[in-house]
Amino acid sequence: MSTNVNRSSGEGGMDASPKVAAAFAAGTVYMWAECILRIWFSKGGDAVLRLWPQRAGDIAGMWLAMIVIGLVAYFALAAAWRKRSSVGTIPIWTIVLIVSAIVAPLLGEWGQAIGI
Amino acid sequence: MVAFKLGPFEVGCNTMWLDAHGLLMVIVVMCLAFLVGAIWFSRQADERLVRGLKAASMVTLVAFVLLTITGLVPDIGFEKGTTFSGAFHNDFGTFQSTVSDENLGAFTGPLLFDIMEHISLIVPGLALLVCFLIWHHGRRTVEDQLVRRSVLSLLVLTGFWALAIGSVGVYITKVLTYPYTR
Repeated sequence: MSTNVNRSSGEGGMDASPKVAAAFAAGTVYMWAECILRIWFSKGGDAVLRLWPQRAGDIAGMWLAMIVIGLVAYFALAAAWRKRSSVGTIPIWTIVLIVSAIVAPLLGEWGQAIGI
Repeated sequence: MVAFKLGPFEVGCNTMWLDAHGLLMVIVVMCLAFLVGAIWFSRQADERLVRGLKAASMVTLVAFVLLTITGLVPDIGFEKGTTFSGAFHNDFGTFQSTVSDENLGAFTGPLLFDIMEHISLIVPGLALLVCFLIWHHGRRTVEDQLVRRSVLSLLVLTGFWALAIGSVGVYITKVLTYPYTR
């Protein structure tokens, strides 16, 4: 079991280790990736760029794209932050993620009656 | 459609698919209830509890992924009017559950289905993060107040979205498609 957790000295909050912070950031990126992809495609994004033709399979393709983007974000950020002792605090990351998980799905339907 | 008799019921493969989808939802709800209860009511964690939390979080994640996949399959081709239907035959008549762009309440069906489809992709992401936090922090998930609150709040949001999606799914497949032929 990992105990790679540090306590901050002053604020009483618990610092997020680089891996935990990268996981939270990747989760946030995953949420907003769907929002951006949906808005882009519903505004006439090129189906060829979607890597899947028109409607058939587009949802599965978008999901796959979100997963890949999230994974890339995780490994990139974990590598970028690996020398830092902490990146933000867990409460702050939790709030950012929860707000994203509520707002991103709603904004993804911007201007759309029924989406893509 | 392939169908077989099961006692008084005649069940098709699409019906089995929808039932498997529902069963996965039940598993998800059970695991989420265990996770929230175990973290909420425990103050100290022994190895057994930690193993249980890790296992439950992994089962929840896998079930969510399968739930999303089994939910997405009927949605592929949805906009082109592709029909995904199942039927129950019993003494009361034939109950037809159809997921289609054409006969699903005209406006509300596609709208609800789209909302469900959209929210559903968020939930596996939340479940993965909960799973990561529980596996990474181990017993601190229960014993450290901040990790505990973080995991609990993510679990509550995950459960809320899952129940919201599940309610829409039940409404679409069980209520909106209620008209039946005898």
